[in-house]
Amino acid sequence: MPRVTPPERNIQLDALPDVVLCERATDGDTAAFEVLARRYGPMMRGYAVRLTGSTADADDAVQETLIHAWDHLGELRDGSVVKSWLMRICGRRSIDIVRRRREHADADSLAEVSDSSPTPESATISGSGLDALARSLEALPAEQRQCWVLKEMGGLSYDEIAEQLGLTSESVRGRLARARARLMRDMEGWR
Amino acid sequence: MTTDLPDLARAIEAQVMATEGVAGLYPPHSALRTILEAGRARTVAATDGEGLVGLREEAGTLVVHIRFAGLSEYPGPALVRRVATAVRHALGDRAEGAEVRVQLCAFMAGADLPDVAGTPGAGGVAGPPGQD
Amino acid sequence: MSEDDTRGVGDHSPADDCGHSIDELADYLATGSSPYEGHYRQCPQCQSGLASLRSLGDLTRSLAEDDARIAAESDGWLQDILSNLRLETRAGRSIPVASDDPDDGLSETEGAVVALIRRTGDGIDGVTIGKCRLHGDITEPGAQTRVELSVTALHGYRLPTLVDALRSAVAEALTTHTELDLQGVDITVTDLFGTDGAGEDQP
Repeated sequence: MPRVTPPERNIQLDALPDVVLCERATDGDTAAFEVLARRYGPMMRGYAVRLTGSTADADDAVQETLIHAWDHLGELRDGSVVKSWLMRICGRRSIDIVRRRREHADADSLAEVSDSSPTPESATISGSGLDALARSLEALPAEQRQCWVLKEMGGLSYDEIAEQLGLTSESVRGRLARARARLMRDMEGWR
Repeated sequence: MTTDLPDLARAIEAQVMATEGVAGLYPPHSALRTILEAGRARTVAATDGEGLVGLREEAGTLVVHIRFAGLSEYPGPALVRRVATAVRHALGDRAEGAEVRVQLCAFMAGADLPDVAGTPGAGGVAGPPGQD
Repeated sequence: MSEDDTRGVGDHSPADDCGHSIDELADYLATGSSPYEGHYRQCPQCQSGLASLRSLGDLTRSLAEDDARIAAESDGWLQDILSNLRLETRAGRSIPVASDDPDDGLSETEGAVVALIRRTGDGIDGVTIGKCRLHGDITEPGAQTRVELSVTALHGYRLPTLVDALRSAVAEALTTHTELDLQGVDITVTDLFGTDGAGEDQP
């Protein structure tokens, strides 16, 4: 099956700053959007894997994020913040997917969906503090993990996390405290 | 009266693709939104099984919808008119009173025709091979 | 953690002698300010707690980088969506094309014309097009239209020459490929590429 060889101008686009790529993508330049997707897609996917606990869900989240971004890029006034804009959308989509899946599971009265299943990625990080942290994160209850990842990987404030998860700021604070205590206990040997 | 619409759509597609300066047809619906609706991440070739010519009958009136990419060597407006003529030609005796909507959605340089979708028969904007 | 402290840091709570909880320290790290800053600076327990919090934060960010690195190594997951994206067009407004038959609705998309202008501009040595907009009531036949372009120019090219070449190439593309009444092409050079710091530079 014939595959796409990138047009020559893609190479030149790689060197362009986010602002110019955003302008072009807003005007419909799919090649410019593709450069942005490659630039920030991996970061989004990692984030989504941590939030959803599943690579398949993470793929969906990133896909939905990119499509949303393509449709709404024109609303982004400052192209230099596209990275955090994408991460924010990706976080929101990831949470939505987990919620949808859970509602679906409830409606079908299926066994509770495990959201702490180890991801294939975690197996590749071995024998390091990262491995220990990955396992410790996966062992956290979903909402604690999400709070932690949104804050520490996504850089969101308590209020923003509360809004995304539909919780009060206070319960975000509580979940973060529990996540922190657990992670610190688990990670003691790695400092 | 409506049973032959798919055949007619195929005839229109062939006629339009044979028009000089036409690089390809776009699916009538957004490929991206199609995969969104499909839901799963690994949905490929969203245009599979979907015709590239919009064709329907509204209160006895035949409505044809074409979205195409043209080669930029050919002046756009004249090319759009040629495509409309090709559609009417394909419609034959059903051209009378038909509503033909033709939209040029992209100008392609002969050299950088994107080899999209790559699914034989599914079409997509893949230029006829060897056309300059 | 100090070496002689055998308790977990998570147990550092208001019950402890210094009275400052790990959560309070976390808030301090998040906000960067606290009325107890002076105490934190000289309290070994708080210092140790802050260090633990920082290293956990660092480790979490390293994990994020590692996740991204792994995702970048095998990007088949990205391929599918990108191949569908290549089929995508941004239509924008519909620019009418005169028709021989009153029952025809013929048009070109604004997106197609903008992409054409962008490619035309990119084709000129030393120029990369950023923003490209069509101004005017382009959904009306033969509308008076102005083109607005922002351009990144490569350092070392003579700007007036670049701008002239760009203006005439764009004008030619637009008059060849649309039935719009072109009133002018307004070009802003927003960046000089290849200079130190890529500063803002107006022509």
